[in-house]
Amino acid sequence: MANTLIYLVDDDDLFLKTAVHNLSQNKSFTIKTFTTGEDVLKALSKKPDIIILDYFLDSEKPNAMTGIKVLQEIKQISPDVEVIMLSGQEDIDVAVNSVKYGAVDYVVKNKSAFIRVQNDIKRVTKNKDKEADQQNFRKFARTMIIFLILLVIFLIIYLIDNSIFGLIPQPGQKPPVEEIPVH
Amino acid sequence: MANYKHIDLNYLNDLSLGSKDFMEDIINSFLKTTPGSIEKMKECLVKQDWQQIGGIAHKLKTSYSFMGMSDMVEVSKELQECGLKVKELEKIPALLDQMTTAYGLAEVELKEELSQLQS
Repeated sequence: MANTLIYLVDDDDLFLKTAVHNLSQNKSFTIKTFTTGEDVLKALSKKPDIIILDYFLDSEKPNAMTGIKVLQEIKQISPDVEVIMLSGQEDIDVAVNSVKYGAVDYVVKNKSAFIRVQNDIKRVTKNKDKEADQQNFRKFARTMIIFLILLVIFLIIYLIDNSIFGLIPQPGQKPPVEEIPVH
Repeated sequence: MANYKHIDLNYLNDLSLGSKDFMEDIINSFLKTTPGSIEKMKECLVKQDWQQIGGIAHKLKTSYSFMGMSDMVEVSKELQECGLKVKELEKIPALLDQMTTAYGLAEVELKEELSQLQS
């Protein structure tokens, strides 16, 4: 994938800064940050490739959308966008819910979090590249089939045409004899 | 990097990938936001807003882990549990006091680190 547009959603400023610093080392990533789920939903029209989304988005604003609710909305509006869910702690319910609602992975914000996120991004972009290749191949194969069908049709028309005008001898038909004038 | 008693900046140093600006930025952000968060939890204690205490503690956990304050990561976890699950509420005042003291001690060392980074 030439350029990957990544959205980072977290209400923790320190974590956002660290994640941006870490991910922006890869020059093929364009990173945009959001502190609420509501804001990221408004920006889905820009078609991000990957969204890294915090599970606990309502830590200080109890009325804010929760990470799971945002994940559900993202998948409803843009099913092709891959979402990596982040959480501050190991919680099997969070992990199960995240995967159930369509996240590709659930990453705990510990010391290996950024390595894991980077691996997930690599995996997602690789899969997207593979999908794009397959799609291109399918397109090419379709074009080739249409071309071959047209070629066969033209060949049949050509053969029928020539047999009508007698250019091709029909079975049982004598070939035309050229008369030699006698002097 | 100097050896400190109350903070351990090795993790942050790894995350910085050698950028002093990044280290400075994160330490400054920590110093700017953490006292406000602790104060807010104290206000919530008076208002008995346990959920809010849990939410703020949850967020502080990541900040403390960046500063290598492992004891405070544990204190934050406890506060989060107490607040979000509304249990063992009697522990909250002592945990908040512990956090206030630890922050004060860490602040001195972080400011020392900042002046070293700027020199």
